[in-house]
Amino acid sequence: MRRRVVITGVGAVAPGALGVSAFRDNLRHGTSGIVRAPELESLRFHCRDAGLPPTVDEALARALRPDQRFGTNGVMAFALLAAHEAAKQAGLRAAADEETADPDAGIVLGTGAGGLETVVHDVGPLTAAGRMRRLGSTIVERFMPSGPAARIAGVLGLGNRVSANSSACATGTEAIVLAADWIASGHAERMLAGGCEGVSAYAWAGFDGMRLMATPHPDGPTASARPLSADAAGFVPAGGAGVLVLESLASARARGAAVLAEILGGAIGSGGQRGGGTMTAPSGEGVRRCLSRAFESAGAPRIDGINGHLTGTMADAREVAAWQDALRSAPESFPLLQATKSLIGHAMGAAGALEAIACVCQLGAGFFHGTANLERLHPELEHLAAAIPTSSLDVDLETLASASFGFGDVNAAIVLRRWTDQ
Amino acid sequence: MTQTERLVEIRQMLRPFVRDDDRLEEIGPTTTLEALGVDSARVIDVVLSFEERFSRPVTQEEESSLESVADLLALLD
Repeated sequence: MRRRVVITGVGAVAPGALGVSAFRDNLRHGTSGIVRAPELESLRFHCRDAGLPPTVDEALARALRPDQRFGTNGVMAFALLAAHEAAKQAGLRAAADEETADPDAGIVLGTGAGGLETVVHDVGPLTAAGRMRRLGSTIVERFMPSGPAARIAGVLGLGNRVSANSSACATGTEAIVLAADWIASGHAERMLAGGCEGVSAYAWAGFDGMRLMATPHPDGPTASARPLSADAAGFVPAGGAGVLVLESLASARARGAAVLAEILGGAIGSGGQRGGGTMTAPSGEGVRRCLSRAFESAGAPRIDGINGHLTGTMADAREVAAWQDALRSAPESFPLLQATKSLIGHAMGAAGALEAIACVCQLGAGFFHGTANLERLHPELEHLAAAIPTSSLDVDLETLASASFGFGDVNAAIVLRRWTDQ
Repeated sequence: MTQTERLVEIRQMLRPFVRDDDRLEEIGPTTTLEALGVDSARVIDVVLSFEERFSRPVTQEEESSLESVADLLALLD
């Protein structure tokens, strides 16, 4: 029998928000974390705006000892801070001060591009100059995809599975499904799960070249992310990290940990680049199948709200159609729908984790954030206008579903339930 | 710089390698890098920090014979 899995901690480094409390407030009040990015301007990007987290140096120095943060790069710093916040909220032991690792606790923390900045600025130039000695001992962990997970495991003394997944923009949600399954099947009691992504023009350049990123909007950077809109013009890139502490319900109860939400179910899948799916576009059938499997694994509960992938491209309307099909929902009974990326941009490998945290915040605090910049709904979505608020609603929701889709026609979805101690 | 001042500088340089700040003051010439948790793969980090802090290049030969704080101090003679 599969065990119940709950969430006992969350940590976020999000565009415009350091920490979950600030992130929650921004969502509730519709405060955007998207700003003008001078680096993109100087590099002559088509897109000029980005979702940038606040500076993390001081917070990192407060959270970790010098030896724990030595040799970290941007993406590792984001991940370490988010993990520190999540672990602290969950009340996980400060294992760094203990001599033994916790064999029942692990981590699955993914990334899309990992330490690409390190490769560009350090590995490339120093290797080309034959100066390998100057790379130092931390160079490998700074670009290996499992570097952030491994560094966190060392700080927290995680002695169970320590790994990184990478499934493009589905990474964060996929990590949560993998970690939840690991616990549900009895391999671990506690798992940190999530995703991280650095702020890197080099990681974003290819998307800009494909004209998949948003053009500057006359109303300024906060108006450039326009998911679900008739005038959506591409996604706004972002960086950050989201980490959740997942735990068996039995472990949470035994430790007396406060439960924030329950993971009712989840699924991972692919369209196999068939039926319209390609390396760069999801197959509608693949998305529907993944969503249906997630609902089924959750016990087919009523879904009160959807936190969609919804990046601000032409794929938004197709995604909503897939949600409708998977839920077999008539327009008048379609759940509330939101696009968190309208406020923070698209943090790629971190996106799904940040959006899962957004769901946890909303279930716990009783609100459903609005989708920003939605002056004119996409014409194919007008029949769902009543389900798509443009500002926050104060509403106690029971269940929220969230999904992420990525290059390679890969998909992941989760269903979360508000915790009612039952 | 006196020998004492050099030792203070070396201690500060080694700060990112030491788990307990309290132990920094205990670092003396006889302290080995191994005792600080600096294994053979990480000696290069100490060397790079040394070169940056003291603007003094460390040769391959000098690096391979680094075992203790005394060896680092000797490089400043």
